[in-house]
Amino acid sequence: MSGPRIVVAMSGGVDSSVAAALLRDQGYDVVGVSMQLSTTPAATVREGQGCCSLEDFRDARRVADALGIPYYVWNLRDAFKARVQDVFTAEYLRGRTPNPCVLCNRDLKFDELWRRAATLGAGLVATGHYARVVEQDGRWRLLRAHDEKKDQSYFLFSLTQAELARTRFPLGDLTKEEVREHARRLGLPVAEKPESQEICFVPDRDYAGWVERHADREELKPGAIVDEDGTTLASHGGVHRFTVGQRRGLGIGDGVARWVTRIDGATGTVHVGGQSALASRGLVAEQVRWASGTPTDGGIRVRIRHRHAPVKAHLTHTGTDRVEAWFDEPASAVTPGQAAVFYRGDEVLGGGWIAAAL
Amino acid sequence: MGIYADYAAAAPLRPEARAAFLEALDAGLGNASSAHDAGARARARLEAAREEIAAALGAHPLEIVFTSGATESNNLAITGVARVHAAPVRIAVAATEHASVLAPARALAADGHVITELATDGQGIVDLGAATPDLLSVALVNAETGLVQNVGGRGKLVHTDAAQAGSWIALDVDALGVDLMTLGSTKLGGPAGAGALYVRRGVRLAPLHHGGPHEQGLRAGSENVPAIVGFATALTLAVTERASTAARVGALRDRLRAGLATVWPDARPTLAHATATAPHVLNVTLPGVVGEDVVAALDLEGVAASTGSACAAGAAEPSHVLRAMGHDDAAARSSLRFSFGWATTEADVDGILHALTRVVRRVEVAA
Repeated sequence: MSGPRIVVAMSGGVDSSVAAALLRDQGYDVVGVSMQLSTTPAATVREGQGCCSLEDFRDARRVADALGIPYYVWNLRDAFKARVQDVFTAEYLRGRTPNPCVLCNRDLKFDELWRRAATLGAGLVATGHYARVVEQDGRWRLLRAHDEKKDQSYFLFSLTQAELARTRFPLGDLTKEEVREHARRLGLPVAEKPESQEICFVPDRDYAGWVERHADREELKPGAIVDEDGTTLASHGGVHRFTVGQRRGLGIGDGVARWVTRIDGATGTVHVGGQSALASRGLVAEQVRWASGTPTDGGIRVRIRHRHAPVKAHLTHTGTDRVEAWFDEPASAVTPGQAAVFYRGDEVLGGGWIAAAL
Repeated sequence: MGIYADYAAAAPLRPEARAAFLEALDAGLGNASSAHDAGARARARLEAAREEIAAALGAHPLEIVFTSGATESNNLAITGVARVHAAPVRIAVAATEHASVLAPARALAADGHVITELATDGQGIVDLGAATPDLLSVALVNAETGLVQNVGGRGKLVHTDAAQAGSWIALDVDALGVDLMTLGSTKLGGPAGAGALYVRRGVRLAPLHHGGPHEQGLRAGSENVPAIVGFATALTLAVTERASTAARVGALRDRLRAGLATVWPDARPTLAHATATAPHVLNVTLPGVVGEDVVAALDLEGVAASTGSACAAGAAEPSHVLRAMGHDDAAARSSLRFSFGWATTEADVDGILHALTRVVRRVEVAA
């Protein structure tokens, strides 16, 4: 334990467990922490879903015991509610489709990790994200994971140079199967634990139901569902029930296939149309942050949601942190509230929040 | 070996208690309720321990009910008084009580009993007002702050949680004026798994669970004789050495308080100097710092301390004790508790101060 001290965020899943194990084996002085984010711990004993259940903390603690590393739980419930869950609700009420995982990474996980790691005497932090950080020519670059299927760089776009310099992603060069093999080899009790995919605090994926339980009734924004030619097809109970690209559950019932193309949060109008109406030529991104300064144009691709194959785009800088990205080929279902992340090759140049489709 | 400064959570096992525990464990004892020799020998040890504990409290042996620990004793006192009555019972507890008093009281509210959580002043001293409840429960020594309160004789029945008190304060039940008193083994340096409830003769209780007629019908289940024997040994030791240990530990606590003022000027003792406290606890508030971070940082330096409150998952909540004393949420998250006991040395205190010097530098960097 003579190496530098590093704080590893451990969720109790196989990824962060193996991340901690790999760092220990590389000689780091590893300290494991779990972040308690959920507001109802007693109600979160459930099987293999999301994070922050008592079962997950127990798993993380058992892994830490097996690795012989210290382990602590941080209570971030109040901060998680204020900076992630309340924002999630507010975004849906505005007719946008939020990405709480990016918010959580940017405003909570890494922020708290760096700040509190310092108190523990650690200058470095690590997570089980599938992404890579490399130092090149005096600059820290965030790169896509080697395993394209698992790449999570989309969620990490907002990390700055100073932040990247202090961050390690030990799984960036591994595939999921290799990670599981490491876990089996090390005898970690979580080697066969299933993936968590959904938003951790809405394990049943009923986002509309969650919003309705956490918003006042008068905050809901009901309105009309309107066709491409302006015809009102139906009324609805609130814009939070819709997302751009949605086809099911529109409540029109005339057998015609329609997709949500745009949501007007101010009027409550949900615009629908045929599939071709989902295509956009570009997007407007706000609150854009660049990892290494404003990039030169050329060779840039933009990813508009997790797992989306990035599309070629040209950027127009229309403000200090506002960018228009014009796609070479139209992209489908540009969704306000999601992150737009800009890549050149494997490198994440930066990103922002989608404000509108163009 | 690291430095242990969390006696209020669990005191290290005293060698004498360990020896008594192991002797009983290896003595080939049967069930203390059995008629044969192995049972009789268990019974003899159990009753000797009961007499030893009764003597320490100025009580009759049959007023001692053995339990699994202080939490069970608190539950038996609160729930036992309520459930023995057909009509709703008025129970008043200090808002600063341990969870094992507050939680059963709150559960009884759902059954129709009338529960009052008594407010305290900024030092945690309970305001009894004109309250004359059927049962009043106030801890003799608060686990988080070390505050000493004696409220004997104020309710129709008075219970005190004395789990934190045994090593520091005389536990004479008549002098204290209490009808029910909770004790636990681990806080005294005895083995885990034993505790007692003093039940004044004539006080009626309903048992928490049902089974055989053990412990005057109040606590079914075979007694944990080896742990009880170790518990009695630890209590007797605590009583015998009380005066000298209290003076010695109090001086160590003062040394820590004085040293803290130098190495961490922002750290403020949570209780005023003039407030009556047990000598083993120093609770400090660290403005702008999360107490659990400092506990973790000290742990990495080999020092075991506490925020004072803990939960099963390990993530600390704001201290309900400090909240009740009028601190806001941020302040109630920023507390740090050191607690000392029979094996604490001056070198331990200096080691804590040395570790704090390193931690405070990092906290400044982090802030």
